[in-house]
Amino acid sequence: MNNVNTSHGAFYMLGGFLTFFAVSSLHLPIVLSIMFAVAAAFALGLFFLYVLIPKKMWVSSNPDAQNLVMITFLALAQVLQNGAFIVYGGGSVAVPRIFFGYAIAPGGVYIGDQTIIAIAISLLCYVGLFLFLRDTKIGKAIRAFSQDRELAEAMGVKVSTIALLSFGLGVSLAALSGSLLSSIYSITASTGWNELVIAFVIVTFGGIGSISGSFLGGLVYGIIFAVTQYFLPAYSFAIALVLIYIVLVNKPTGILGEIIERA
Amino acid sequence: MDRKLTFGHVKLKDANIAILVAAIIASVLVPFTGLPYLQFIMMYFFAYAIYTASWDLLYSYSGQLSLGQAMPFGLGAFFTIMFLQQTQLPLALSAILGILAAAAVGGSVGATTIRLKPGYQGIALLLFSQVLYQVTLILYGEEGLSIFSATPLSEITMYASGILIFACVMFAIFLIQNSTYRLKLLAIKGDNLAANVSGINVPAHKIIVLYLSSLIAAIGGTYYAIFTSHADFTIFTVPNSFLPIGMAIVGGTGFLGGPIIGSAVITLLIRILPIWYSIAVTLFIYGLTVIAILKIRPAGIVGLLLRRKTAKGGLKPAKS
Repeated sequence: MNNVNTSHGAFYMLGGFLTFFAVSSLHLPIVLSIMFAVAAAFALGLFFLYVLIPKKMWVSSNPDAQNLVMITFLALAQVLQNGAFIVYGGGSVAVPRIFFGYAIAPGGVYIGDQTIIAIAISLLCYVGLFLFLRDTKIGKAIRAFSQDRELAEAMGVKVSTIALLSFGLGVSLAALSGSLLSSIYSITASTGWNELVIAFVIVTFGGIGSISGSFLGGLVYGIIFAVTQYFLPAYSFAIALVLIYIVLVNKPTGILGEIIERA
Repeated sequence: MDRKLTFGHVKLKDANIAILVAAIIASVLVPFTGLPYLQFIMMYFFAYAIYTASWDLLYSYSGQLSLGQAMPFGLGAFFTIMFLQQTQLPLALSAILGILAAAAVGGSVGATTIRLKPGYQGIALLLFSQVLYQVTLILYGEEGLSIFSATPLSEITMYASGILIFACVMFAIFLIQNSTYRLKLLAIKGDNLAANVSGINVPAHKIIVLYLSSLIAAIGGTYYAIFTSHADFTIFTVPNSFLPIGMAIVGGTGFLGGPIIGSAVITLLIRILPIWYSIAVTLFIYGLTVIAILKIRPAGIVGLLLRRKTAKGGLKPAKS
């Protein structure tokens, strides 16, 4: 879409709260609650895009339009976070786990079953997204659109459909991760900003527009974070981000992606 | 081409100076109203107006987007208190050193982002703001740093200093806005490549504006820390970075009058509403206000008086 969604972290937070709402208020089983959160985030994402952003700005290469979209989404994130604060207060919420227990990995490392489930679902989503973009007609249209908008339009690709679908998919994946991690870590109304910058660093490090790059970027961030957490736990977040940022400054294309520098 | 800009029937230059003078006169009159809370709110207004103008200078004049403007603002606050506590220097000297240190750090960090597209530049700066949020929380805890002085400044001295700092900073921005230097910045904002080909040293000017913006934000942060006698990790939160963005949007970006009017309206909103409602409700309403302005009138309140409909369109040249 050529736009940076600055409310992405807020949708991560929303995923956790929607799951909590489905479990505690609708009394749905946890698996159904996660599905509810993802579907609701998808619908809300489309609603907000449709209502808040003028259609001509959904996909635009004009920097002024892109900035206005970013600022609108930032304001939306502010509204969503304070909305969650008004409804659930400043305390944290945690949703039930799908499985209880743990597995022991080689070296005597304990891994919770919920963490294994989260890893499995993440891998499934990654493979699913990869195949969707590679093999389906819509996926090919999205890729064609991101590579050359005018040519894709000339070939009959509908701008609004692609924009809505891409945005909806993005925010629902953010909600899914919030939903899965809300049972491992707790979620508060102010959650989401760190996740936004982590996502930014991972995606740009891997390379904008590259699914494989995001996977690699995530892996590198995870390893740096885990290593620094062992030696300097308090500063692991800061060190991991700044280290990757230094690499990014010297190689703004990331590992496998397109250039994010100005023309 | 005639570059005179119009504001209703008045030149934009005159309108901006009129808004600035009106704000200064209103600030001078407030202590005579007998409303101490309003006087207290006005001190927030001075800090926020300077803070907003620093963001707008970066965004509207050079096309650089910062989503982490809380970084130089907060650093100004922290450095000033640190100099005051560690060196026992007089308050004014500590403030100057704090401002310079914050501008140096903010500008240097910003300089690493100048090659990025505005969206990515914005998030890169947000990243550093988030890092400082974590680091100051670890180093200074939730209580942060406070100013303890045997001879604290009187409230009226603090208030008068606020008016003086506000007037000086805004007048400096007014001079930049009406200088030929701004034309270079507008060229850079319009097209980096074309500006470069025209002989403008694009990276150098972008870095200059980043340092200048950090300096101004640090002045706002330092004044904020002095009149509240405190700085903690919450100064680096994203809502605090969003504050100048929303204020500039509400007032109108690209004019000196925009940040002044936007800061006045939003400062009143976020300082008066919590009397009846929670901070969350206040910030919720603030976010909705910004969205509504962006949706209905992207040119902001100042734009309501201008003879144009969107923030994107160019200003109309005067007929004279």
